Amino acid sequence: MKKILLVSVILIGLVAGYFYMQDDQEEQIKQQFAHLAELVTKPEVVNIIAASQRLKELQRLFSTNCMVQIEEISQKGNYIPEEMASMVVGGWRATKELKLTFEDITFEALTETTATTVVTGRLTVAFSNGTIDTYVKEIRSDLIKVDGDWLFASFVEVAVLL
Amino acid sequence: MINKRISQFLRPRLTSVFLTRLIIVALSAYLIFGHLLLPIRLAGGSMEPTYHDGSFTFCFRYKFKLSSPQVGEVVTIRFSGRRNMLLKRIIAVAGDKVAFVDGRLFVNDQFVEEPYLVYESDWNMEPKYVKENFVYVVGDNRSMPINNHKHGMASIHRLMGGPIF
Repeated sequence: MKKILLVSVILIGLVAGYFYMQDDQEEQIKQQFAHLAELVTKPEVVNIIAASQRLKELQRLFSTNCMVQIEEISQKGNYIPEEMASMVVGGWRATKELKLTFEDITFEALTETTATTVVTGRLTVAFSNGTIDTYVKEIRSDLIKVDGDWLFASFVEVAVLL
Repeated sequence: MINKRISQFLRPRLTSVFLTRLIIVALSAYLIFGHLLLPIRLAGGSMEPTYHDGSFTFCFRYKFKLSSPQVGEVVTIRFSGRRNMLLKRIIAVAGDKVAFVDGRLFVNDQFVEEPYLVYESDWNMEPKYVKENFVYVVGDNRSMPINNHKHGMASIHRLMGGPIF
């Protein structure tokens, strides 16, 4: 009887531990998305030193080759972190205000070192002429874990309407 | 008497009856507005004049649990979760052939009268066949160029329900 109880406790512990680890990984990835959104959002005052610091931080969020396939954002292709940061700078230069948020992050697959997520990205841009555009896209994003950090490896638009 | 009742309402005593009522109200609100009738605020004018930019309605989640999507119904189509949705009208279902000619809708080569349309349209679109488990959706406002309007085939698995008013 004691043996059964002990085995049950260990099993429950293992299952709870597994879910705790999963939750922990998911939380880390959600934080990466929040961090990415925060860094991409155009600061109110673009100070050169602060912006440079921000771009360096931004570059650290991407894997060495990040695949991007989102209409209206860029050409389909693979980009190095510096190019990803340049893309953001281009966005800042072309707009008066630029705000990115990620919502409804769901996990399609999650291992110790890789994750596939589906997320809704909302990009709001305001131009100097007063025009405001909002783009809402469903994006499938792959992440890989390198040296303890989750890095973005791809962003591919999912067609909601075919 | 009235003052006493107001006072009781504003500063209720934490009795078991009060707590039970509070839990029931909170639970009901969560179930109703979190799962049954989702509050939605409209952004954009693609459904004008049926639904106005900035207006508010509720999405009945179980609409398509009780019936299958029908032509003419207004539906909500989800993105990756429930916080962002498209509001569109179904104009054709699986197997149908859809085309626009000079702003007029043709389904299976038949002209379709659309009483909900108010604005003029000059849309032209080559015929498309609606795939299995998909519906063709489009907004009521077709005054803009066709490429500036989100329309197309939506998987029935993405249909969240429909507005209640």
